[in-house]
Amino acid sequence: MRRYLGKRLLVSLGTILGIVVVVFFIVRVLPGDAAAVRAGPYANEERIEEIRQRYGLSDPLPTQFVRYLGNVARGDLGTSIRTEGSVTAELLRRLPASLELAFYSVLAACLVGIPLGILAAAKEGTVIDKAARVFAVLGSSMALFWLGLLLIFFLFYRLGWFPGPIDRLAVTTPPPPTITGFYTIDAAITGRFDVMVEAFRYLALPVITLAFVLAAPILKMVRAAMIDTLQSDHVRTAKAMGVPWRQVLLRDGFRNALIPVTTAIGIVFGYMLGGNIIVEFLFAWPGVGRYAYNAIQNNDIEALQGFVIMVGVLYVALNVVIDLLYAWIDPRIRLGGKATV
Amino acid sequence: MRRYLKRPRWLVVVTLLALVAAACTSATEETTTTSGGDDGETTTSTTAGGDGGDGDAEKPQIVAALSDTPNVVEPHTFRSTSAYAVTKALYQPLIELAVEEGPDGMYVGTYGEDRGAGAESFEVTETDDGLLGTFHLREDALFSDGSPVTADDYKYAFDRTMLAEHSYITALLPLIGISSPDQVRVVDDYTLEVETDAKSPLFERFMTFQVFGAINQEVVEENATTDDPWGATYLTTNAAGSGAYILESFDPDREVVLVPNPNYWDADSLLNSGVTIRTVPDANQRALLVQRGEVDIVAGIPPKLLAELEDDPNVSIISRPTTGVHYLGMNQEIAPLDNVDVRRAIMLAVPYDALIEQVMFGYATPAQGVVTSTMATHDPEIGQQYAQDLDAAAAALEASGVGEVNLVLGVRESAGTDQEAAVLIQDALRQGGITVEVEIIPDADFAARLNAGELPLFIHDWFSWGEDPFYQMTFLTQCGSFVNYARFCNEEYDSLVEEGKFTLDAEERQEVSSRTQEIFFENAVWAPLWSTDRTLVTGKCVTGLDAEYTNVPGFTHVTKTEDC
Repeated sequence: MRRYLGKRLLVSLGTILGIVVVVFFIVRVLPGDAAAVRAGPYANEERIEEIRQRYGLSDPLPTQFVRYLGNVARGDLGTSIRTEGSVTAELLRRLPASLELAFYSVLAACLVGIPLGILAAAKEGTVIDKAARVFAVLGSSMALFWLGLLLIFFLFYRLGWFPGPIDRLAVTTPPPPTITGFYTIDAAITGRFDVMVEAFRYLALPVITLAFVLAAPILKMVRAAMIDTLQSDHVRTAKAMGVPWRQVLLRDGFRNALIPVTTAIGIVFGYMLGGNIIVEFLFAWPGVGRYAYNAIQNNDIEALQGFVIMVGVLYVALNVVIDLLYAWIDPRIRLGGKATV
Repeated sequence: MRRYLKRPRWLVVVTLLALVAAACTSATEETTTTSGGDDGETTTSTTAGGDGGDGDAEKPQIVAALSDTPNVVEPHTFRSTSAYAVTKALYQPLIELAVEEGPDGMYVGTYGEDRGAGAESFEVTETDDGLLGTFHLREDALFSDGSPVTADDYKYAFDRTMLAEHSYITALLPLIGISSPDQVRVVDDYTLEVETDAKSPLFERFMTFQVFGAINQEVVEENATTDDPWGATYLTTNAAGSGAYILESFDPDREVVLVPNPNYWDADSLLNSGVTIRTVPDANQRALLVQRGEVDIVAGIPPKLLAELEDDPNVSIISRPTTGVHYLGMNQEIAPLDNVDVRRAIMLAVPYDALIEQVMFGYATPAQGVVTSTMATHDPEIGQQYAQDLDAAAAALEASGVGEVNLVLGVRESAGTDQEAAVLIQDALRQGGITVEVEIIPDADFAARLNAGELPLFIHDWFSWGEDPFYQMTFLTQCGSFVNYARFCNEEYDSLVEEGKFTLDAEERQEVSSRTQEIFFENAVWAPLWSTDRTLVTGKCVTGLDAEYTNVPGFTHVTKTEDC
């Protein structure tokens, strides 16, 4: 197990280095002059050049690259040309908002997708299975922005059941002291349950929007994996030997289906790690997705680099966690054997 | 099936109940609370002097959702539109336009009638070569830390505009004949002189600009460094002004919280207990928020959506013509646009009326020139010639001798109305025999290509602080100006612009301006599309918006009436 973990970490470091190198060159082929945008309409060429000098944009590419590598190694992702603030600080300030949204969206998607997937597999071919598959098709084909607009229009504007798309809390509600950065958790820890409820209310619409779409691939993967597992020899043997159906389904069936399901959940969560630009834009959610959108619009090179690196690192870390989960789920991996899924 | 579903079913039921309970809790209260409601709780930061908050308990808190994000609050660097609204609240200039409340609750004034702001009184006299402004400062004006505002602090601000590397104001000061810090003099602690070396009618208006507001020199110098002697880094996220508000918190791209300056000399004139500006990127959501009462003021609502909001009794649309200009520029350095007849053909083919009706839904006025129809010295006899005439356009194209004309029209990705206008223009030009390919370009790339002179046709816009015709012509159309993207160069025109800039006599100014407008039209430099109205949407109970020379919204008089 330790060797396995060591190998994974080594591979992860290599991946991160690759991301760091590739993103440097990719953002530099984007068209646009960030210095001209920043300088504004009253600027002349001298003023634009002064901004380029200040941000090192006029330096030769190898110089920029070496400086960039050194900074990244120190955790310094540069300075945003748009806000003139530290990219590292700005991303870290926004990351908890995106993570909280991602966490609850994936959780909600699992709470819907996994039971439905199990049910659909257990009742394969019945009306229940068909209904679940229709739900999955709807979720897969639903446009996020359209669903979000509908929810905002009906549940906020028309019915007033939820607050509007204006950040994580009401204007007059001070946020809870920062412990995890998750308003819901920090409020609960500090005993501010009214703030916790309010934070959940502001989370509700974007979470429902995302969860509806994310539940579809989870449901499909659970269903497929469960059907496969339920047809396997060991499950048929267990049934034949009179093991209770519930035990067969959950302990023998679902446990064995967990590996591909974990992969699906990992992919979904990884997708969310970058912040969902559309949802964050629509709901005025102050996360990293919106930060990336502003960076793209303004050709804010260092902000864009920093965002891509941060997402890459998080994604690599997530994959290591998933691999560890595999080891926990499948003892054959822990014991050094091969998993056959 | 029932057995294996027992636990999951219980869990699902509990989860659903919890969600419903959360959704139902204070659902109605939430709608009003987030607008600042009646609790009026003021989160006053701790500053020296003044109790800061108790007196504001009855005044409402205002919530605004503006069209872009405040990126920095450094007063002398170029910044986003909403950032200017923030810095206007933080820094007080020497004088201001004398505004009074009108019957509709809006505060307006007569251009040219200014009054003291940071200065209690002032005089402007003519010297041999220019103008001398003498400003007598208020002796009761204090910064938020309780230190007095003196002439040295205004002098510091002026010096900063001229000497700091990051300052863009150096481009503006020559318009009023200021080129050296020596022209701004401290006579004593409460008397400042500003002397110009040219007689510009814009002098007094410039003195109302927020960029010349007092800056607490001591605070900035404490936070300056060797590499940053003017404290630009510190002021990027902090304030050191004497304005009506102080910066309680600033999270770029997310939220700015302004609270009343506890040491403001005119605290009684503030009609609210503070302003929170939240960034809501999507215009449709901003509209829904103001309709539901969750915000009080929104900006950047597209004209089509404004038209839909007109019937909503819960909102007020505050719309006012401005002198800004939206134009179709033609780069004269790119063939065949170097041919004046080709440009004339394009200018005469543009569907001006249709653009105002179908793209702007009436929230604009005809521009009719670089000196817009809403601007002083506009000559309507010349301006009216900017009208669609497809026959004349075809004749001009034929006279040009150029065969097939194919051009690219660049528009910004962020400018939805520009894109809609481009479609109408493309169709109209096609009828006039000119083929146009519309290219929607990300903003940063658009700026780069425009600066490099790569776009033959483009739609752009401009607003001149001070709303002066010669200021407008200087920047947009004088030869060599950085924003003269049409690359127009005419010696007579440039000479007339220089003359008009420093002419005080109204009749002479009109004569010079009319001639420049004539030259501009004859050379078919642009197709001036429209002048956008400044439009804000507010909750029905909100009043007190103001209008002055810079078109930047002010917050001091904004409040909510109880009987609406």
